[in-house]
Amino acid sequence: MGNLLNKNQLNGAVVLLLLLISLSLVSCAEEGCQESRIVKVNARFFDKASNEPLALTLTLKGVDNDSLLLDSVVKVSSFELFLKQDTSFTAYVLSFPAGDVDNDTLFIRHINKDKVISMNCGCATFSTIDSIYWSRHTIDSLAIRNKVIGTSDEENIRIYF
Amino acid sequence: MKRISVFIFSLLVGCIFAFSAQAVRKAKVQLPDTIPFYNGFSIGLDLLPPINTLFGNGFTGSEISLDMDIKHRYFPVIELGGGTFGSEKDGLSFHMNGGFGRIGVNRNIFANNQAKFFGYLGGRYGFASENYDYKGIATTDGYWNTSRITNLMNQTAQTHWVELLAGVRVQIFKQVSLGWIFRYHFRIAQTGSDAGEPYYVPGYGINNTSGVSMNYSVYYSF
Repeated sequence: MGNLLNKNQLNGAVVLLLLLISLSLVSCAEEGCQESRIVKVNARFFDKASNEPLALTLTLKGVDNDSLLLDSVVKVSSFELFLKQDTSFTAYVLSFPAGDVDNDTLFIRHINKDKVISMNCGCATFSTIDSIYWSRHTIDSLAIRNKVIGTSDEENIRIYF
Repeated sequence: MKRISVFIFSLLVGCIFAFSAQAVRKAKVQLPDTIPFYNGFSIGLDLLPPINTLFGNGFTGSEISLDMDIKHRYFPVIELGGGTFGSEKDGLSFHMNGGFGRIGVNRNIFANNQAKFFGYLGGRYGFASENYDYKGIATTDGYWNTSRITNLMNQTAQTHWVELLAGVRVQIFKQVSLGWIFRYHFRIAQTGSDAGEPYYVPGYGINNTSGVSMNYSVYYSF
């Protein structure tokens, strides 16, 4: 090595060696899953007259499902619901036990698409809302704010009373 | 005031001596450039993919490089490769096959080196195209109590990236040398399936926004 390199070259070699060691110390280890796999529809209640958020006592249940998603939860102004992954149609019954009002039903048509998030996080079924129908007993109207259903907390539908 | 004047005068004299000394030093090292413009070319073969093939893991395939020696300082280089990669985690498996190319230049950081020990810094633009499959995509839904397993087949992706690198090359026989390259790369664009990005990109590695990789190559110089 001494015959091969002069002093300047040896200094350069040391700098290069340090650079290579620094580069090799940069970790290439895979990180764990940082992303959520929970795909959900984010809905909010609004007062039609004032266009202000509205808090209600809510019971939420999927049609053809015996389990309640929400059971008489008070002061709900926003909630999450889950679409069926194996069909393109999901319906929920909204009950308002605190007031003397009728139940309403939401009928959501959606297009599903499986997506690989990553090898660490696995997969999830994402959806796009095609259309929403609803009974008009208590609900006045409904607006689709974002038809792409994903893992974010972005508002998807706004329900007016 | 007199002391300040003496100080400024001393400073000026010092600067003049310093510049003069540097000029003499420069005059000493400014020898006529006798290095030819073109000094041949080298073909390299990355030894890591064949080793991976032997042990059946990682990227299996081949990567070759072609570089030209311009005045022992600049080495324009083209790198080409292709192969397959497979990985499995928690029942989800990924498999891809594809090819890649990189183009760039190395800068020898040892001036007038006779290529016995060649250390360099460099940059690359890289491009890869691949076909890939995901198998065993499991999705579950806690509320509706459904679970499914599907596959995502015949997806394609194209990836572009930029690399900064450092390398060494040591002559072991008259025309044969061995070398390491350590690469830091960052992705600049990727197009392809919206059903899931590829887990691995040939010539780049794990498909993160940035990462490191390396080559261990044997070179033959002509």
